[in-house]
Amino acid sequence: MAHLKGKVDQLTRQLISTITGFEKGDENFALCLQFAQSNFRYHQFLSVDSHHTKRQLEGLCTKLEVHSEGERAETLRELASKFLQSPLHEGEGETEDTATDTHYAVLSLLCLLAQSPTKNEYQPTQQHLVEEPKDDFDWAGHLLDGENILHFSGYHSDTSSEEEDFPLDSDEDSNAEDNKDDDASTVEDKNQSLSVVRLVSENVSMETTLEHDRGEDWLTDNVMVQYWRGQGQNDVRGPHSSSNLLRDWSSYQVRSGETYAVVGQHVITEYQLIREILWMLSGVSDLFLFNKTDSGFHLKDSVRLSHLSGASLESCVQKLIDLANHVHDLHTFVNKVVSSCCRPLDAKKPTLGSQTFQAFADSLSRILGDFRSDLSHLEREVAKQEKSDCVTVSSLLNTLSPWLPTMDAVWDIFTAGVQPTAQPPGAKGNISCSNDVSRLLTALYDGVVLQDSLGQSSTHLVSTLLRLLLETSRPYLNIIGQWISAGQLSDPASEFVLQRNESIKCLDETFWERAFTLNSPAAPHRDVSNTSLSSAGLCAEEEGWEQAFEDVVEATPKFLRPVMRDVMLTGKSMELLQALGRLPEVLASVGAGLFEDKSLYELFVDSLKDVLGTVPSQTQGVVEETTLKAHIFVEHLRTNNRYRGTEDHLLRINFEAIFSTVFREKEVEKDPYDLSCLGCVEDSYVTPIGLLFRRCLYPHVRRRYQLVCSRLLDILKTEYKLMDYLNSMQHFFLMSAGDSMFNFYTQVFDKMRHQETWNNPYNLTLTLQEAMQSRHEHVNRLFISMETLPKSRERSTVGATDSIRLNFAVPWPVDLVINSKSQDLYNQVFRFLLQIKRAKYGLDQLRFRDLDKTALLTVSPDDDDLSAVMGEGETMSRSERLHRLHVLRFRLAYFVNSLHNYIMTRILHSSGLEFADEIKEATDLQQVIDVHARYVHTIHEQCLLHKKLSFLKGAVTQVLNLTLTFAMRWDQGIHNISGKSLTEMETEFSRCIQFLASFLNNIIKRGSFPFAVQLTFALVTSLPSNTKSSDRFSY
Amino acid sequence: MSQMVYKSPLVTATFKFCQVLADFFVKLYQSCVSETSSMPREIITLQLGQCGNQIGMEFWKQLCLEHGISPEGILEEFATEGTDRKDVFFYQADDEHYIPRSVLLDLEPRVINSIMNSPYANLYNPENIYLSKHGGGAGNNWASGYSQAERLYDEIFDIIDREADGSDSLEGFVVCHSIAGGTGSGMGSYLLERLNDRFPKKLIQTYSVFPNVDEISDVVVQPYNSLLTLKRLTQNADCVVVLDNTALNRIAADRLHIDTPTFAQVNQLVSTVMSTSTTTLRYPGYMNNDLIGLIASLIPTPRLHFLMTGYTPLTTDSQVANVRKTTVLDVMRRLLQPKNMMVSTPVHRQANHCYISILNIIQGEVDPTQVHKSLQRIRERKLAQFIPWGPASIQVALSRKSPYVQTAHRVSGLMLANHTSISHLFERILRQYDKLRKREAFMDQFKKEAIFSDNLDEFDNSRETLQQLVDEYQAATRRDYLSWGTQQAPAAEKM
Repeated sequence: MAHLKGKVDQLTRQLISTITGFEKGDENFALCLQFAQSNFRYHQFLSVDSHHTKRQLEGLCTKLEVHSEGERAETLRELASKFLQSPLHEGEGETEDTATDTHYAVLSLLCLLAQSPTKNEYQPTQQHLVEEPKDDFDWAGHLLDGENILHFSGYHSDTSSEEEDFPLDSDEDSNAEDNKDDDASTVEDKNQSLSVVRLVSENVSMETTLEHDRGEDWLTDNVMVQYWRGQGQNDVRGPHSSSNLLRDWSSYQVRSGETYAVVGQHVITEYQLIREILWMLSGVSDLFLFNKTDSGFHLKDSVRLSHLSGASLESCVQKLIDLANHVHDLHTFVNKVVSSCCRPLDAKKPTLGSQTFQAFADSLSRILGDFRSDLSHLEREVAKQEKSDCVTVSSLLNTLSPWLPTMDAVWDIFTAGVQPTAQPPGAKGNISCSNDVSRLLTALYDGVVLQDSLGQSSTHLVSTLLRLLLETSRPYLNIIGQWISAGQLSDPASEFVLQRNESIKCLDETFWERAFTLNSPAAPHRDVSNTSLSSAGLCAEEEGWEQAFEDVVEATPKFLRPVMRDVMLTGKSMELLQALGRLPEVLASVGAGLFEDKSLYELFVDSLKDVLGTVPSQTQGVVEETTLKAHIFVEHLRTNNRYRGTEDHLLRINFEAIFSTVFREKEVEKDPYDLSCLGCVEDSYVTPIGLLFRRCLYPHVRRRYQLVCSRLLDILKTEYKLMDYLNSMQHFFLMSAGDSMFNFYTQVFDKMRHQETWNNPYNLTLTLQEAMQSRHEHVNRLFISMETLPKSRERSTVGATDSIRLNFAVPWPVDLVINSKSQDLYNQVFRFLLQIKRAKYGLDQLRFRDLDKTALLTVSPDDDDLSAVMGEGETMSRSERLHRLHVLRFRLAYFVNSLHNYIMTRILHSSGLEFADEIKEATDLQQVIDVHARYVHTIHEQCLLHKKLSFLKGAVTQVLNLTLTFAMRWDQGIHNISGKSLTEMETEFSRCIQFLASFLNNIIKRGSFPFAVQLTFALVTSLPSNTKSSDRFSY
Repeated sequence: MSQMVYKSPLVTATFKFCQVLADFFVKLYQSCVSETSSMPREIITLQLGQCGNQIGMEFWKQLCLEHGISPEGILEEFATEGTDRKDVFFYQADDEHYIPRSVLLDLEPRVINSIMNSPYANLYNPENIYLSKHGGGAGNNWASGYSQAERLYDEIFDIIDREADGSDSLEGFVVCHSIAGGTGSGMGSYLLERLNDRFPKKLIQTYSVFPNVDEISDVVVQPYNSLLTLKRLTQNADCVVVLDNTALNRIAADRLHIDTPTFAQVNQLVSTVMSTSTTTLRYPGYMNNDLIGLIASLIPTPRLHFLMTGYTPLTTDSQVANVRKTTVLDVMRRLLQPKNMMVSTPVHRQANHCYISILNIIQGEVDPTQVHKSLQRIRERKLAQFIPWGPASIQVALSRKSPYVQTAHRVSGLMLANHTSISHLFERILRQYDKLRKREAFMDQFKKEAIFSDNLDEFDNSRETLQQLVDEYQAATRRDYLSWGTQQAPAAEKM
């Protein structure tokens, strides 16, 4: 190569003077020369990398193949190999040095020249240099064939901002403008391979057309066509038949259909399209090929590719457009959340400020970030044009295909979980945050389960979504954890499904029921309906509670529904324990080592990891990454500021500090419970998601529930004597303390019978307490008050005792179970029992002698006188009346006894035993309350006091009334009872009995009131020979 | 000045409040004074004559066992915590020992002396034991017993009145006697009449032992005595529990396999019946806490108040249980079998007879649903024939068992039944009376006494009453019982 040296030297000098303008002898000139020479000598120009050159050629060939120029690629390859085979210097032809460095140097020079043709000062004198190889290889002959075609509409890239947008970092599109002044060569470097094709054509054009055409034409050839100004070249043609598809198709259509008209079309290249697609995906909304409307991106109507029909283009791009839309939506959402959490809580849209949404947004932005980085990577790949898999829309689609389902799924979740809430702002007045939150979580869970059930193919997707779900549910789980482990419901954004009703104090008896209300607008409405219910509609109330619970469950995120009950109970129990002042003790005894140092979420994640068998190992990488990120961020800001001309060092330092702490915090926080480890879930992943939650989350909640609730129940039972009070209720209200109550009510009844004043509440209380004193506890809590009855009820004799109201002052924690509502029911039962007892007592006290004796006292020698006294209508003899009164008494007594027997046995024994059993098995306070309420309702119903049974009750009351009337008449003596009134009584009684018997019988046959079988049976058998009695009483 | 005016509403308000408060306290005080503390519904037992005292003694023995009271009346250590009500039948003396509310009356000293020599001598209140001074007894003569009682009226009623006054809310009297002898029947008849006058509102229940017809009694005037007593039982008692000696002996022989049952063994059967029938009063449950409540539903009309009893399972001390299975249904079914009835009536004679009403007292651990099922079974299978004119009244009262008496059976039951076939007993007595009366046999002894000195109308009267009773029982088996009173109207009314 020595012979070259002189020439090179000379050329170098020439080059320096041309570029720099220094004169020979200048100091600078010497320096430049030295630099250039050393560069030539020791830099890449000296030693050509044969492999690199080969690769370049190979790339070129591929490029040609891509452009359906297979022949040409073949030729090029052939020529290159031929060149390499042939000896370089003709003179020394015998040398065997084929494919020497020199060969490669020549080739590489060609390539390099092709890369930056504009930088090359073209000199026609150098023509001979080129001509030398020309002799060997027929470059021109080969390449001239496609000269025209090789003029693509413009791959040139020396201007314009588009080029700068390529390395666009996802977050900064504003600085695109500012980057204009960036060194163009860097851009060029990036686009090296991109320009290879152009280089070839350039080369050719240089050789052939240079002499006559150097100005305009060159420019038009090399400047990027401003397709965004509508300067598309409609007449782009290719030799390959498929590249003219569009034209052929449209001409066919023009020919065949009369309605078809070619509208203005922008024919663009696929590369342009891909570029724009990538921008679109990365979130740029201001694009030429795509319109951004409210409903998302659309491909412009007029855009066409030369080798695709409009419809097929659209179908190709549609998927990507959808993807872009989704990404855009998600991105907007994230921005919204981020901006709203910087602002004070927005009254209108509390949802966005909630922790769950923030977590969701955070998690989303991470996914989006991944996507972006993937995208920019891809962009780089595309720009290189090295690989064949990124140069068509469909290959782009292929490359992005892993993202498609992910984004689809995420977007589905997003629409299901967030979208509807975001739409109607302020439409409903106050949008409940908890609903939105739970909808979001439910949607997430559903999404995960759906994907999970789709099988193995989507495991990666599942793990992504699972992670999303976990991260999003973290605040929610934290709220729950805090509530059930410390008894505090701290929920600033009111996103939890329940809300502490501040108006209800802990010491209130309705605490259990009302203290926590559903956190939604529907809640107050239901509350009202609850209170407005009359005490009679008991079952309805019960259902009401059930309904309320249903509501709560409904409003809970789906994956928490199975444990929601436990969570509620535990939370309430905790609060109750706190009110009892037992919380620390319980925490000490129960919570040690369980919830002390770990939150529910942490426990959950821990056991999740255990189940999945993954070990966190990537923390190190994360740390580095984050610090790096911080730097980049700061760097960005700085450049930004510099361009604005406002470089402020203090600000920069400040920013640096902020970001580094932010990132450090993040990394610290992330450290122990980072979920990234879940990325490797796929391997070990076999269990369905539902099972995963059941195994990992529910046990923690359940364990807590068991501990707390059973402890609370224990405390209530042992220290607050819950069972004692329940027994007392039975003793007093249900009269299971038969003998003592007997003493009480017989005194009252006696007074009533003798028409003394009996209804002084003080006396009654005193009587009651005295009767009970010796045998029962809690008597002092018992007192009687009188209620004024409505007039209509006062008249009926049997209802006289209804004014008695038994009050039992239940102390605080116990009154959660025995609340005033159930006391009302107890009282109703009590009054009914009192009525029956009174009827029974009244009948029992009747003496045959009393009926007769009065007759003896009033001197009535014979019956004629008597009937004269009684009136003309008297048809029955005295003895007959006596006899029939006796029999009537017997039958009444039987009825009352049966009723009494049934009621007492039923409510006290059967139901009582069931109640005792159930309460023994109850594990939490709620169950105890339920069991008790159900028990009270049951006995209430069994006492025929339920609304539905009111007609039965009416008949029973009628008979009881009759009984009392009967007893009263009996006391007055036989001769005050006329045969007529006697018959009336008999008829009435028979009627009632018959009605009751037949009705109950029907019901029993239908199986509606299984508990009434006994009573029915008694009544049915009490009907004497039916026909006969009705005959008798019919007259 | 102005301040004073300003204050005055407050002052008056305070005054008013004070007045109200004072009123309240006055009322409270009054109520305290006026209310006597309510107490158990006491029952006073009258034991008349030889038989009555023997039964009574067994009864008290049983009660003492069940309540854990020693023969001296001291509460046993183990029984101090009981929830039973001892005060129905006992009261406490100053030294805390329990005294039965019982009056022991006899005209001859033999039985009472044997009681006073027994370990239970100190149990009774000695003032309540009355022995006729001359100790000659009534000589198995109703009239003698009756007139002696008439003479001793003041002394006897001193005791009874004292007992009655000593109880807060007396429920009634239980009279134990036999109707065949002299003292129990004669004195019993007199007492029944007087008790009715004196305590018109109180319940009178009798446990009346009917003579054994299988063996020739040494008392030949049995039919006379029975007839005369039965008239009083019909008219003056509220409820008569018939204890038929014939049946008791048969049960002792057949069911307990005792060849020659002693008085004590038979009496133990009686005491079991008596104690069980009062068990719901002594072991309070949520129902049936008064005697009248139990009985009232059994008795449809004034005269039809003669109750049969049945008890199962029956064992004696010497005998191990031969009844293996005691379910509720089992017990109730057994109770309906005639062989367990303590009244023996000819079984297969014109089977028109039927139950008027039944009360089963079931002791032990019983589930009410079982009771209900058993009742249904009994009714479905028509194990019991009921009156055609009224309800098929089977009532069941559940009761606890005494914790201090160990029994081999989980469940035991007593039946109190009002059955029309009891009229056979009365018919038999009527027949025997007619036979004697035709011959005017043994009339002399009766004519000695004041009541028969003029005429024998009392006999005829009694016979008529008893005949009406039999008739009414017969009528009760028929459908038209409801209109029964009309046909024979005036005659029945002239009492």
